[in-house]
Amino acid sequence: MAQAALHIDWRTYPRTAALDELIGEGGRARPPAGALLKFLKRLEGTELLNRRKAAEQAVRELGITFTVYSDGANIDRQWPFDIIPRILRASEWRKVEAGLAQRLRALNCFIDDVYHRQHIFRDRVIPAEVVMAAGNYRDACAGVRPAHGVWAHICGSDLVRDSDGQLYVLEDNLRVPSGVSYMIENRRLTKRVFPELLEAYQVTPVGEYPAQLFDTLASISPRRSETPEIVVLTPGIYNSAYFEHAFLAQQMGAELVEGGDLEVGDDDCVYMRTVRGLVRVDVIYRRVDDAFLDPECFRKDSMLGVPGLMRAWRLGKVAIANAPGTGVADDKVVYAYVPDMIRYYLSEEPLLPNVPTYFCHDPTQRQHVLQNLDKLVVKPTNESGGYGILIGPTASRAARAACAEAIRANPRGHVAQPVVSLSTAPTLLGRELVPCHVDLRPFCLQGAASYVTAGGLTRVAMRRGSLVVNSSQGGGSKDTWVVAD
Amino acid sequence: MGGGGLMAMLSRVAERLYWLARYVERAENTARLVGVNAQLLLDMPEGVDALWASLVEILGAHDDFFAQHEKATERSVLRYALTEETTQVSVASALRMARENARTVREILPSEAWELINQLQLEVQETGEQALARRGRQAFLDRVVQQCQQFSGMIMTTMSRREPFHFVNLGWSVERADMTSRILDVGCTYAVGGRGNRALLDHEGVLWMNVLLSLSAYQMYRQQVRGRVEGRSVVGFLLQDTAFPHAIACCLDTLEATLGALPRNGAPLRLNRALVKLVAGADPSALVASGLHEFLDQLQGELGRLHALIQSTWFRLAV
Repeated sequence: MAQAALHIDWRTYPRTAALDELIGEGGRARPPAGALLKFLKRLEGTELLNRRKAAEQAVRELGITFTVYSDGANIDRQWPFDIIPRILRASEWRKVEAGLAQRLRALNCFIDDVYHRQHIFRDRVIPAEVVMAAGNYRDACAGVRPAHGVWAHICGSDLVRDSDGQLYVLEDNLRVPSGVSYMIENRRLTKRVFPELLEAYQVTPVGEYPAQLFDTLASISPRRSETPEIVVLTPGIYNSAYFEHAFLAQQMGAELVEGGDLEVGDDDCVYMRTVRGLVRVDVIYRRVDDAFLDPECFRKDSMLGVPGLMRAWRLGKVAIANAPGTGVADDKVVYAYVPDMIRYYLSEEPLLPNVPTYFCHDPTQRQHVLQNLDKLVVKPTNESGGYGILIGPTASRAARAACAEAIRANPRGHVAQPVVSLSTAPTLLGRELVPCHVDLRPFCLQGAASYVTAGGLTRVAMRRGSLVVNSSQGGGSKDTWVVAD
Repeated sequence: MGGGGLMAMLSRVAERLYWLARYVERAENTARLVGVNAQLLLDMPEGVDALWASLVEILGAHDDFFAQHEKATERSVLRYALTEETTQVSVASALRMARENARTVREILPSEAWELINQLQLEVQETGEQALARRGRQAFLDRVVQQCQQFSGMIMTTMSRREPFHFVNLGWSVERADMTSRILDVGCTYAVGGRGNRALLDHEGVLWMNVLLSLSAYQMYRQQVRGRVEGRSVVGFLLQDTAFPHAIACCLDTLEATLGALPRNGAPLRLNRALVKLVAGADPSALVASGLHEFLDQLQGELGRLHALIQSTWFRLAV
């Protein structure tokens, strides 16, 4: 059957107010993207569409899925992947890497401080009530000393590039950030789809992440052993990130466990039930929220957790990553203070800028937010996954009114930021190359040492003009290349 | 994962593999059993209701079935054994349970094996009603049996002989031995009932042949045993033959080898050896004359105890 062809002329590639990652003025390639654009041009006609078909086939064959809860049923969906990679310059990436590691070091100092002497409140760098009112502080964590003073071992920060060309940190996900398995799978897909292109570029590999994660987790084991017993704790097959839990466990050679597989013994150690009997567990990489970790300590109705787990952790018999209570630093108000934390704890200047943030609990700032709802993005402070966000310029009058109402009812529960224009990257929609908005989620590890992924997961809003990149809301993803410049 | 390797296998995973195997085996056996009975029905128009009632007995569902139905008729028994999702024994519910168990251990199974169970379960859900009418029934039952066999074949040819495989094999063997003992028990009711029932007595040979067919045993029996098909030799074959996979002695031999390959196997292995002795020491001729039902009752009780020991040894560890 004849297929409608795709015509590529980069000079007519649509311009938007946003900056494009690959294409600059007059359709000219930004420096490292030149060879990629020429290569794509050679595939016009039907070849590029064929390559997309091959990618879709590979996604099915490799079983790369995510689970969406919809209409009361869980559906395993194919992972949405756009075949055109996004390219980052290595010189820029080196700075971002340093900035992310710096940020995570400061955040860990902050969490450790909050659960011990709280000097940062005493020194009036951050108001205590701002942190305490968020509801993420856990009494049960006070006084605990995790290995290396590190609480957040895995952090997924969301970065966006504004029209000024600068990458900004939009938020730090310190609870159970997901997406890293898709970063690795996306590279696998590109290797299948564009093998000749990867030969032409020197792309920094991303596949070492599971080994780095293993080393990070091993470095916090309470027992000094060559082979610490590491497990990945999953809420189970109905969780949207179950694919990733299974993937990471398999890649690390760790056991994938559910709460019911673990128990805490009379010696306060954690054991897993195996056919060979009880086997002691050293490190739990948990992918369940704090509230469900231990029914003795948090939610009594939790079926996902392990009774006594918090006791074992407090006594230092088992390490948990990320540590319980880490969520105290994962809050959109606390986020705004990260640059101050960096100066306070590390005596360094922040290497990566934040997006300016208005606090709705401050009467003056709230007034500004309410008067400028049509120009701002309003976010609930304690939600993730893109839920509850109001994008002022495109929201309906009714949605803005409802948002104003919500802000007045719960000022502490909201922050506002100027609309960051979110850079675009050429994306194959139907038979056209369209500039779609992207963000970037790199993953940063900290244990005895620090590590940052080369690039990260680029999420792309695959609806024309949309700014929402979450996979649960129609977002897709791209392979992300860090290339020498 | 697991098994003689570095990592120990999780009890939960072992249990789900065990049940997966039991449910697939159960679906296959039930489908075959229904198919054979439906064929037999065409041979002997009288005593038909007794035949459907005996199917309910084989499935071990007397109380549950008669709590809902007054009489065992073709339609009510077929619906009960094939399509009803709420019963414990139907092909549809066995496959649903098999799929649920497979789904949670996907990464352990050969991926085609998961896909096969997934598709079969959907197919049975969609087309199960066809089997209630006589037209289309055999095709449906054949399809179920074939697909279950294909599943077993994939496991046999693609899974390493390590702990995950061993737990699948335990599930198969326990379920198979249990089913064979149930089907033999029905043969026993024929023999006993036959003494007072002219119609059944006339057909004794046909009925024992039916027992063999229900277990896909007829051909192998013919190759192994000379002479006419009669109670004594059928019971002997299905109890004591160590070469035919559905014969109880053969199932116990497989169990012996499989249990032997697992860690901490003392208690279940001891019980299994006692079972081997019990079966080898039985006298088929004497049993057919009297006491077969009681013997099979005892055997089923012991198989139940073996199942409980497998559970307490590997699945439900005492804290």
